[in-house]
Amino acid sequence: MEAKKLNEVRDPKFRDEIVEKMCFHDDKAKFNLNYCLSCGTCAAGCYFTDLVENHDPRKFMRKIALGLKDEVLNDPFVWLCNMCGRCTMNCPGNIPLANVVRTVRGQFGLTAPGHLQKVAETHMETGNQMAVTEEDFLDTIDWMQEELQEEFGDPNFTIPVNVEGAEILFIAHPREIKYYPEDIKSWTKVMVNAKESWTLCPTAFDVTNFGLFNGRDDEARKIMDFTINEAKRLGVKRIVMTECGHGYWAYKWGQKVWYKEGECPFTFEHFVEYMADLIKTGKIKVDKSKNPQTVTIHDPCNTVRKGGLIEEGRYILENVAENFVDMWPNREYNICCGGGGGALPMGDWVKEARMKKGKLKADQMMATGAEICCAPCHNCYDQLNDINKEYKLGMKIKHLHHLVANALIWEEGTGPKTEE
Amino acid sequence: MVVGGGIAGVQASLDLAEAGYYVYLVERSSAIGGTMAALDKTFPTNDCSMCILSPKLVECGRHPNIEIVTLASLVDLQGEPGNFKATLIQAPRYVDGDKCVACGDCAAKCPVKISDEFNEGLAIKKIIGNKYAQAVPNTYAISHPEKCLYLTKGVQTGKEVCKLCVKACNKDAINLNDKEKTFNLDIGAVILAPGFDEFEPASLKSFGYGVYKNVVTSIEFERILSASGPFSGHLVRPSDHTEPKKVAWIQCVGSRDRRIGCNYCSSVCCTYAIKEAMIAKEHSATPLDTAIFFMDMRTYGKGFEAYYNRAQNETGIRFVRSRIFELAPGSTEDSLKIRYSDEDGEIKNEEFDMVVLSVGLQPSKSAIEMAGKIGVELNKYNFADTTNFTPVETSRSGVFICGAFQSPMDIPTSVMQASAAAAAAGTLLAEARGTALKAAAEPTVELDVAGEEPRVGVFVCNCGINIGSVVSVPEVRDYVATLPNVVYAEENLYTCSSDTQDKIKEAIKTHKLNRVVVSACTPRTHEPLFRATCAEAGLNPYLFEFGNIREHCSWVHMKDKEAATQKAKEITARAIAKARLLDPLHTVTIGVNKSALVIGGGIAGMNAALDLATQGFEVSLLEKSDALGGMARRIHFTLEGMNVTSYLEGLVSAVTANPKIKVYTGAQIKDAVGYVGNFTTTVEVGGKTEEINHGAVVIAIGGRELKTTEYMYGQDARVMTGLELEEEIAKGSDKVKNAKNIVMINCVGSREPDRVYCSRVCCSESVKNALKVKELNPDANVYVLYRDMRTYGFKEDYYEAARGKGVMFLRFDPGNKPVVANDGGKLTVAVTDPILKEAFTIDADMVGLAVATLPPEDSKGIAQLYKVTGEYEGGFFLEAHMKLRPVDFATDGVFLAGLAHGPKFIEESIAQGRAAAARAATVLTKDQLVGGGAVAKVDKEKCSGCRVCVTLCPYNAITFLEEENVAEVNEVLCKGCGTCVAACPSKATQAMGFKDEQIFAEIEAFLA
Repeated sequence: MEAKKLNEVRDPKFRDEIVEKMCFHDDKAKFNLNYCLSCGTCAAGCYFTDLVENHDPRKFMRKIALGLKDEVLNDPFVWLCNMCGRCTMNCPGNIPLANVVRTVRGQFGLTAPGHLQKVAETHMETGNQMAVTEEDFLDTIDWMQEELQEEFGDPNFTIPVNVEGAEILFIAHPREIKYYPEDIKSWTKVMVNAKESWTLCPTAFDVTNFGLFNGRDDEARKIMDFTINEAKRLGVKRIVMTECGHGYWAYKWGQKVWYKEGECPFTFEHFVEYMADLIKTGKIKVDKSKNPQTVTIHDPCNTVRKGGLIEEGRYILENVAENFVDMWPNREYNICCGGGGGALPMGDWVKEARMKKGKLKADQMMATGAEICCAPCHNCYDQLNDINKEYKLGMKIKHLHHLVANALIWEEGTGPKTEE
Repeated sequence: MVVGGGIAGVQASLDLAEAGYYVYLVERSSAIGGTMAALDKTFPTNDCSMCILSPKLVECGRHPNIEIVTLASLVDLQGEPGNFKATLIQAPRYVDGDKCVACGDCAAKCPVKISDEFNEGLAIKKIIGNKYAQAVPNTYAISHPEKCLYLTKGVQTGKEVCKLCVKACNKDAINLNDKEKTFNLDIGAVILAPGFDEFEPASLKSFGYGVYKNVVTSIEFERILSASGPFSGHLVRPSDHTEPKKVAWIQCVGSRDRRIGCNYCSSVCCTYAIKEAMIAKEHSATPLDTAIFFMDMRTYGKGFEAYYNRAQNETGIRFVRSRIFELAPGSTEDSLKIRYSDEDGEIKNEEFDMVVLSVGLQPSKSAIEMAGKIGVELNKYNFADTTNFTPVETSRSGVFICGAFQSPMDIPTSVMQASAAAAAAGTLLAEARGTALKAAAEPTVELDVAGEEPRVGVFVCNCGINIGSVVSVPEVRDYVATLPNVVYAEENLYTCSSDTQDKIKEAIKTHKLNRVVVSACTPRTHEPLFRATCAEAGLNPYLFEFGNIREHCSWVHMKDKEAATQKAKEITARAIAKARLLDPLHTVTIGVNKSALVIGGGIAGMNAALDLATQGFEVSLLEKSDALGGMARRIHFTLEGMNVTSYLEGLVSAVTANPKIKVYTGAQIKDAVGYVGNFTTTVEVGGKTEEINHGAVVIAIGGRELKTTEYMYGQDARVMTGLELEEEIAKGSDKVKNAKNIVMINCVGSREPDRVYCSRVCCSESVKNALKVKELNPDANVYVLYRDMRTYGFKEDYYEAARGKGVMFLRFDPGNKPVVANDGGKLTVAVTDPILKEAFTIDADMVGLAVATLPPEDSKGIAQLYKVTGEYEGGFFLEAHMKLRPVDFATDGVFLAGLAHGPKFIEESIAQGRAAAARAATVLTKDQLVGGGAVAKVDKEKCSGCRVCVTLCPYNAITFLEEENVAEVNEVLCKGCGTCVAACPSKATQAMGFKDEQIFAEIEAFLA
């Protein structure tokens, strides 16, 4: 192959252009992509480098360093990377590779493969990523409310909707509304048991934000606005969200990068940290004998590595399950499930890669000998279910609130009556 | 006052004390020695660290003008340069140094065990004891009073708790009522040498230090390798004490890491990792697989590149260019898995039995605190702030700095800096020289042993395990005790240590010894020590004989213990046979011409001249060209941005204006005769010759820039050397301003088979030029093609800054060098990116070649005149010892500085020039020098006057007395080499200490 003429193929400003367009909550000067030493730490830190073609983060960074803009923009790595952030945890140049990938995805005119972009657009158009109407939402809530009335033996029981002045706005995943309504009952039980002042909102109930995956900050802000505007209208103080990883990170990070200071005056709590706190403060009481199976936990990249919720999930499981075992590696050094970074909605294009990656997670899960694997993230949850099927693991994949709800100790005269 | 008792502080103290100043050596712990005392071996010579350090520590401990103040910290400094009042806080020792003999009785009874800090927590020790076995001062201390039963419970309750140590001590040396003291000292200058802290790797979670049992730091590994360490030098892993089969080193742990704010390079880790891997292989009974994981291999020091090559080609150490992300548990118990990406991008998983973290050097925490208290400014990493042109001066006038608190540095650089700091302090205090000295101790009255039957005492050394693991030392001891005239024999762990000196003196008295034999290592390093010990006990020092059972025995016959033991017996018997026939010899004194000759008017030479002149010595400064300045005249600015041109102007005018310096430009040396204290050099200037008499010489004749034929240099004007490119930049030429693409190529002529050494400065010089180009012409694309970026210490910041400004760095292998071509008038450079494996060509407007620094042309001639070695790596001068005597020659009175020693930066040349001045001052300060002893003598009765000896003497030490028709030996010049003795046809010449009868006795002992 003839040598390329570097003067012709190189855009020497490309590195700086990425940094300029990159969305930061920190001092930009700290993140100079030129500091990359091509040392190989990232290539070894990423478990997928040798598993999937075109997945070497060092090579990707090297192309950027050399200013090979066209090669970078056409590099499958841009979409194959799960943006899990493991590669650069120990980067001596302090390169935020996940954010570099996000910026290349969103700021250079690229369009995401598969449904990813479509989902983001649906969200912007309808207020949620699955186009669930307000009517459908309320119907589903009513339906679950009825079931809970029966379960509690309390015909007056209501699931709070649109309650102005509530302390907490609870936001869910539209899949829960559309496909997993049992989940509504599960987290409602936790909220009720804790006697929290909370509400749902039919016009702001979607925790997700695919603007995080497609890299388009304007879209991300629009999507987040649905929740923020309604939260302001209702006058809540805290926003507690169901077990969704990327949504959590989008809110936590987005608050700093997509909003000016004071524009978004809420605390954002992932359901895992919220439930851990309920147990710690004694607001809920739990009985671990209700969950006698061996349980392990998968650490979602967005909540754990990025969000820092490292011990909360473990704390919960130690309290609500009799046999908790960790997989390895774990905590902030976890391996991505393979479904992160919007891989699931990218469809068939990444399916093969996604399953190859998932094999690592399957091995990790099996090595624990657990019957249940908890995934406090909807994205991971789906990926783990796919893995479970593909590799015939025969495990149960659950959210943490499933186990918490099951372990709740109810005050006399409250709670489910079915057992009596 | 010197603060810090590591090698830098020890060297500075010795230089100042020898130059006529009284020195307080203040040390925080209970003994001097510092980090070097804890090291096993030292690179690149693989000398035993303790063996080369111990004599210096002992010298410090016994020097009448050095007062060692242990367990003390400097907390305040008032006053002015020349007149400071220092406040010190001294922690209680609880043991009286005058009474303690370090017998160990107290420690045997003490019930409190603590983790042994000297052994990095790999062993336990008693709370009362020595910091380490060879500690100076050799006095015990209670190291952690907060754990002592009496000092805690006893004091609290007022009861007689424990006190077993007091009961055990027969010398009444333990004083549990000792209290912290605060006191002032009046001093003229301060030298800070507080050293460094090791980087604490537990903060890097991914390496599992403290979690995985077989992950150790490099300094822990030194202790594991050390004969005096927790495993007596047996290489085992901590988890199960089994011998590892595979060991990995991970470089840059706590260095070159922006994420944790340690951006700088720790300068020493690459070479120490090579050393540790080499020694580990030697210590391993079965073949040991060693791998070093690194980013850039930074073997930039003198002899280091050859060492690296040896490691790769001869010892089979694997070098893997990959930074390590994490350690994981391996498949067998307590083994470790490393997943890494090699440079080809292939992911590999390897398991190791043990992993060593090459931890970086951090500024010492206690030093940071002290600096705050005495008003010394620190740089952004909290090391002492200095500039290129004042490398040993801190921000506070009269307070100087040397060693690793200035920046991470190796031992030779520390020693060099220590001497430079001594020169700086000496210059400041020149007027007070000799005023504060303690009167020299009256020499012990020499015992008259003439006519006595020989009574030989023999001391056989284990040298840790260097000897003891191969030779059965007790067997040797028992054997020699049976030999004629041997009245006493013992074995020692280290015969050279301070406590053993006391034992030897005691034995001379108790057993009325009149001959002493030590069977240990080499007389080259240790003979002066044992001779001094004999002299202190009143025995003529020449009644001492050395047997070398390490180099000649345990090291070369490692595999055959039985034969080694037999040979050790024979070597010792040989020494005894000779000792029986030894005569007392006496030294002669000579006067010293208190002026110096400095050869070479570059930065090193001028600094040496200026320091010597300011200290009051007359200096003749010779420069062969027409102007002073040397290589620096072609350098305009430093990497750090300082203006070299104006510094040089200032230096030249200071030198020329100094009334004590006589500058000779256009000078040629025609001849040199004489010896330390009394040299005469004949110089020709402008056709006239002049004889210069001087007492010391500093050789600072610089180096040269290679004129290469590679990369089209000389064929295309656009290809230039780094200095030529710098010239264009300094001029601000349009060529630079209008250039679109500038390519620099490193290692041109360095690190090649025929020129092995690394030229040390070129990486940084390319970075410097790259940054300057970017300043002049921000849109220019600058490419630096390199093999390993060797921007050590804080120079790493500039490498980083250059990357930050968009300078593109591309690595190449020597087998695939870049190709410069003229493509129809266009200058092109072809290069392959090692990460993408893609070939690129760059259209270049200019190509800068970082060419090698060559040794001086005339080194061989100068070397011959002054009888020193000038043929190292093609013509650099070779110092007396690469580690601890970096500016001395083996020939007394001759010193070395600057590029003539090896490639170096301006600040290093300044420090070395000043260091040479400090060393020369130790000679010039003295009124009289001592010579003679083991030298040749001519028996005039037998001499036939044939003059064979006169012509053969390599030191020009023999004169022919025409009137008497006999030859005569000058005892000060004579080195005792024996050439004349062998040559003399009349057997008129005899070497004292090597008389025929003595040598015959040795031969007979061997043949017996």
